[in-house]
Amino acid sequence: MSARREIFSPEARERAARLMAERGRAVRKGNGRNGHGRTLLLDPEKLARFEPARERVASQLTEGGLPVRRSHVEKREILTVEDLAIHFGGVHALDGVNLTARTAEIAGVIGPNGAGKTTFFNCLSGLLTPDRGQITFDGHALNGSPATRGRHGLGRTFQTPRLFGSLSVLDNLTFGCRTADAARRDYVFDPALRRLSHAERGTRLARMVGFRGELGAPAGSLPFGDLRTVELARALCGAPSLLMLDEPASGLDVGQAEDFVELLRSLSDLGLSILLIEHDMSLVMGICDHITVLDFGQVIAEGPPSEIQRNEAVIEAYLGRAD
Amino acid sequence: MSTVMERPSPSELSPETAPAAPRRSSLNRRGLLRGTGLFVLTAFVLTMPYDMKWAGSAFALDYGVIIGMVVLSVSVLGWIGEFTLAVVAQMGFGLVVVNLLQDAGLPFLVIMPVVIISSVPISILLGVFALRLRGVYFAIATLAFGYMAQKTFFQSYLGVQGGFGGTESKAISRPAGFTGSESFYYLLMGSLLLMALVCWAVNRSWIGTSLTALRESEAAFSVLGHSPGAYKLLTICLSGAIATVAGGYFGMLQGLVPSNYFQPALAILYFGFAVAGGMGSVAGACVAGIGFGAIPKYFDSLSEGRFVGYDQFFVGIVALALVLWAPGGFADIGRRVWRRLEGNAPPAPTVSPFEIDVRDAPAAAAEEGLATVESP
Repeated sequence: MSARREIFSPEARERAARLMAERGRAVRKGNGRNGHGRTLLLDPEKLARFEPARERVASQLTEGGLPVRRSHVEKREILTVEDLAIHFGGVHALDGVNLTARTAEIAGVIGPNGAGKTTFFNCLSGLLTPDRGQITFDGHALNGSPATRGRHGLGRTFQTPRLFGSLSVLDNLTFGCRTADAARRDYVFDPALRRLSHAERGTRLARMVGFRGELGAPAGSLPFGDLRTVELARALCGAPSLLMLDEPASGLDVGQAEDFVELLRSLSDLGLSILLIEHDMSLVMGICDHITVLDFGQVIAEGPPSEIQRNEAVIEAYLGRAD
Repeated sequence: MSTVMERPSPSELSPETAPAAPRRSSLNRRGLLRGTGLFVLTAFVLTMPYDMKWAGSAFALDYGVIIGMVVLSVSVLGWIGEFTLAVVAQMGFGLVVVNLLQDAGLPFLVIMPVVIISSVPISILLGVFALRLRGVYFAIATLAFGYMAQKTFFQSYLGVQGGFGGTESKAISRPAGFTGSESFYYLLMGSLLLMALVCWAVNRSWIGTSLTALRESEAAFSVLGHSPGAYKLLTICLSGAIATVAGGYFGMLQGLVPSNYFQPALAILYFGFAVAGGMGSVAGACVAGIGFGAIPKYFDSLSEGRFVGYDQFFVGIVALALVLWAPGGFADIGRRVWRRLEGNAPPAPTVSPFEIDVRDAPAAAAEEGLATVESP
């Protein structure tokens, strides 16, 4: 059975194309995928009258792609965490955690549930105040409220996406853009973005992370996978130097996850520093340059993925053995 | 696996035939409705003191409009997902400031701006609670603040423990030109409309969008680099200014106000009015305040005093009915009625000019009755 089928009559195709052109939707080169393996066949000649609209949106599709990779990006330490500790009652959620993240690298934080990974992120972003320890970000001690840290270039997503549900997707994205402008921050991965308006910037970043839905739709109406991608786009809109992603691939389907991995690699190559919490070991081992393993709030191992996979303590506490 | 195609008629295929015609008609209808509604509302507001003369004095209406201001101040805090029970204390401060400024011989046009400015320190004090406390805890803190204000400052300043209009009460006069109940109504209604307009404009601006975001996820809002504290303080100051002005007007309406009026528990009643109006809704708060404030007074007048004491029974019945059948309050009822009047007109399309989605072709066509696609 061929996946490529004609599903409309010629008249219906013409009407559909006109409708899409009227609504500002694109039919690139006369063809468009319907998202389910089928292809909507559209006669290019009959579509000629809609050329201006198509050209307009096609150019935006091109603009929405990833920027060209840079040939050389300087690698330097951007985040240094020393002896970080926090406790809740008698539970030591973090106890003497050390970690270093570098620009243009992806650092993974893994560990079993309850190991303290999200608590670690909350301490970094200022949502929790640690009992002790020192955090240095971009050469300065990282203190202050979450808002101050956000303006200094610390972006993050949450384990459960926290979009502003009753606002539109575009409004969600412009929140990040406003921060970038207020703090006069350049986009590490694409400096040209600063020159765009908030709407254009939000649109381009949404397309870049793979969001293909309506930007005017309420964020609360999105399916879970789109919530993840929009939250990632919103964090990128804030022009972070360090992006902290808390289980970003959970809830994504295989195709989305593959695109996501490619996106993270591209962003990292362009100079963005990424700190990643993830339970999908193939993803973590595949894209991380450096991994830190937490268990009961303590670092039990750290190093490149190849070392972590062989580490006995990690295998015992988290990875398990293939029997 | 099957694909069903429904051929459209030739007229449907013509590029000229677009769903624009019904939309234009819907827009015309909407415009006509809005124009008519605005005209009726304006006429009603302007003539209300005279329209309602059969039921009683315009004093009831004046009282209702002031309660409308108080309820608006409570409702505004709904924008940040909080509710305050300090509103009566803030009213009291407004009254005290008006009394002091009138004693100093200042004119009304100077007094009201000073009253607004004087509300800021109190609001900032309450804002300190809001930065550290949320929900019920914030409400309890504001209630405690109300009790402290009543037991200390008001009783020492007003010096009255007894009933209404006690001998040691402070007297406040109405501004020149607004001494009659009808003329005072226009001053009050003008002030309420101005407050509502300011609140509406704030809510429609990027500040309102930020407040919505803050209410939905404070953590996400803050890690994006926005300060929740600044927005909370702004909202509390706006709410406090409205309550303080309302207190000043209340003093002018009553003439004599003893300290025992400022029972903090009254704030719970005003909070109930705000919920009945639709927490966070500007129009709902005004309608609920005027309704719950004025109607019981008119009932008192119509029943020649036999209804006195039953006003809260009336309020309770209406509040119960609202909670059961329209939890969104008057604001929700208004929206539903408006949608029905508009003939369930769909909301205007919100597709961004940058919208690009090639996946929607079958859905878009099916939506227009063009083709039906059945999946395998």
